[in-house]
Amino acid sequence: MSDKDTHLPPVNAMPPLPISQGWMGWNRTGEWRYFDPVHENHLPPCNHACPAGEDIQSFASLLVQRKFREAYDVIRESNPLPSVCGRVCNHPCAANCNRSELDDAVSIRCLERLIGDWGLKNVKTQAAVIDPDKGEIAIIGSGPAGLSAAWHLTNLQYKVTVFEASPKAGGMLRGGIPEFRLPRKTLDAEIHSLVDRGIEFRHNVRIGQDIPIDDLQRFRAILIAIGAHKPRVFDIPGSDLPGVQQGLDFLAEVNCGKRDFIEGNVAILGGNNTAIQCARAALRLGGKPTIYFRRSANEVPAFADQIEEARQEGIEITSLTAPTTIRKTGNELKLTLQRLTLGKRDSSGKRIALSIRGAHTEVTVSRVIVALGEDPDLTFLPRRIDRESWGINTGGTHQTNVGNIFAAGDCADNRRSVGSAIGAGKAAAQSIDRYLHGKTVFVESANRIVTRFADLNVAYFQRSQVVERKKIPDDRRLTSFAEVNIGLAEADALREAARCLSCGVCNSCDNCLTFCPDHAVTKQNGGYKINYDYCKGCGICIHECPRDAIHLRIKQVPR
Amino acid sequence: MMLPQNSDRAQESGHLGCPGCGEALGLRLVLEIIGSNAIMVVPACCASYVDGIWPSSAARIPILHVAMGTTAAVAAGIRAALEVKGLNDTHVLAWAGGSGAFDSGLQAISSAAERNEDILYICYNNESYIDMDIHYFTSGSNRRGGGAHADHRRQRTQKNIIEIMAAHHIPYCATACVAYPDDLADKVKKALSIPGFKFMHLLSPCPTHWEIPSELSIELTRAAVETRIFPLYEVEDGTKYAISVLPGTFVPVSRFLSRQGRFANLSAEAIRQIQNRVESQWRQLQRRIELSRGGVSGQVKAKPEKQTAP
Repeated sequence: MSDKDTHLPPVNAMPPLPISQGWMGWNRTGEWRYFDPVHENHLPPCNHACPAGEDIQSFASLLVQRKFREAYDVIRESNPLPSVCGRVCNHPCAANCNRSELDDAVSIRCLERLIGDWGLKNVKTQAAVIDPDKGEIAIIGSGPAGLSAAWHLTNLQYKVTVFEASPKAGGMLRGGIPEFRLPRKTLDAEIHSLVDRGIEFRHNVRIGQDIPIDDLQRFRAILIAIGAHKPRVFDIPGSDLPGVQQGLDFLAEVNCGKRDFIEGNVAILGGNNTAIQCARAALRLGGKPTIYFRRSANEVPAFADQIEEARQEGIEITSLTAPTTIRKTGNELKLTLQRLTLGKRDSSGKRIALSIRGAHTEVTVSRVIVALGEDPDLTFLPRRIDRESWGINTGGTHQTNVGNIFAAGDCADNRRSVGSAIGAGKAAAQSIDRYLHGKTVFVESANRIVTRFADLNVAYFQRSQVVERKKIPDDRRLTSFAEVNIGLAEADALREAARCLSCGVCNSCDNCLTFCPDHAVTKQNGGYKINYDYCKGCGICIHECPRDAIHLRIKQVPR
Repeated sequence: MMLPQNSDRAQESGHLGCPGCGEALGLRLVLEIIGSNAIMVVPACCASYVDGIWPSSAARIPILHVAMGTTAAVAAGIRAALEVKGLNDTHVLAWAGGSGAFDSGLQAISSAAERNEDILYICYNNESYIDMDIHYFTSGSNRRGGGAHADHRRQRTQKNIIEIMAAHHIPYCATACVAYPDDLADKVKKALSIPGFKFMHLLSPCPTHWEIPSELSIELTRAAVETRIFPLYEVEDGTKYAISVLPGTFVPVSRFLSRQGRFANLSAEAIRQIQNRVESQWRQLQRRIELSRGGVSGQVKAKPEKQTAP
């Protein structure tokens, strides 16, 4: 160490008083440290839970900065249908939101819906650049999985043709979801944006009937995304009587505009989303629906918000009842129901429903709507494609045993939600791309660490109440097919986005910089730089980071 | 002066504070507000070697090292000299540890306060008396003991230095801590804008003496505020009291005490007594605030205590 290092005057120029005037920069206190703090983002739990793989933290943060366009682009990197998903997705992201342990989960669905609607209004989707050398891909089915795969393959510069059996694209979104949940205008607009992107739709073509599947061999790859539309077998005495109808058929009629007045009681059999939607549609057509479900009340498989909305509308769900016979008397149907009780647990841990001897009830109804679940109809597929009783098992790769045939969505997946279908479509697109490039289709998921509530430093977060979406007034709600949920106003949505804690992702709050006792953290390029020459490794920055974006690494000893 | 010319920072890296040192952090936060046009006076205390052993210094402003009891007197002298030279916009900062302010330096502080010398005196209190083998300051009891004064002061409460200073009717005195840097910055700015003698009591954590992991420095300092052991408030003209940071929730004192090795020997009974004392002090502070809002002693309406359930 020379005088030059210490910035000190020579000895004969020292002041008469003990005034400190050198500097301490020569003292590299980084030598004291035995581990390194590192700025490193972890995975927010919402992003982790999103089956479509959306970067939710990112679009919430962009929304706070009023960067609508960027937020829209971030969602569409994963999901071409934000307006649809903002309305009908069950939002497992919000169920995993860390904020729910502080006060209320962020209303992510409202943010998604607002951004999606903003995009439909303000963004004209540009046609993708198609590389003719990459070849063409056929997609069978235009439900959420097919649309998502088409979108991502187009973004990868493939020419995509989507075959749809019905006159309009949308699959279950159009046939299975009523307008009070998803207005046709929104669905049409989002599908139209996919047409703008350059995806070709061929309507009214049922593969296996209008064209044999082998005629698609000119395509380099085929994706089966036909969904699950075949109702499960319902066979009890009287199940073939007129007035007994399958739920999906009923919904398809309603959604096509065939809305005949329903008089009297309507019995809905089943507890899935189709059942709930049938009941809510029947209510709007004048009927008095009751849902009969054979398992216990807390095992109803429909989404929680659907059940809640049905209850609000006065629809009763009678659990632990099973239909035994249907008889016709005059213009009405007599439905006999067996009361059940819960018995011992079976091998899967579920309690078995047992009949109570002699406990029958009979209800008089004008209609019986059956919604016991759906399976994919795979009869059109060539024999050489392996299948299970519930659908096509691809083991998560989305590739069937026939190399260039892929499968995604409800026909290859038991999760059965719009979000998971969109995620599967995206994954299938990636699989197809890898396959066509001669790579293995199996991709090991990146093992990123998820930030949980316990990882946050909540001292920096104020409690605040969620701004939730509102419903339309009851008089309109129960008598028309108008959309029930009203989205948030822009100001409310921005406030809601600001409630996002940005778990695991640095948002430049400056805590690390402010609290560093050694002045070793500086701002650089919008982020932070730690000066390891002086960082003593006290760990304050790690501990005081509100959002778990700084982590500890064992110190690398220079060689 | 031979300071690094290229620096615009209030304090450079490389100081000698332990990892997690609250004094070094507090000094940087204060110096960032004060700026470069200032002279600092430091008695024998942690700061006299943490900032760099003479003639080195991490701080960007000149530091004059003085004998332990003389801080306020020397600072007043510097102010007089600056006035003679016409340098009235140069700030004089006295930066003393708990021992130099509460104990041997108290006479000089009292005199300077009484003369209303235009200086900012900040006592950074790490509750340690580090120079004399960590034995003097604790909120109640000290496991280590040791040192000449240890035994008879073991069970005593810290002096209320803000009350002492308020009794001098100085223009401004306040408590602050490093866990609330915005509040600290506001108070330093306010103090600098007021002529006359200003005093601040700054709680700065000491991982070494508190026997805590260094990363908990800030969290435990925040706990001191949330438990109301160290309320953040200010007093103007010795009479106008105001709370500056009211934590969202009040937590029991054990949240502050139980995580520190120095309090490991506290019995449940002792903790209960400390809780009672803290609550009684909080009530006194509330009463002073009510009085300073215009109430006259004896005529104060008995308001229900404003308290948030923990």
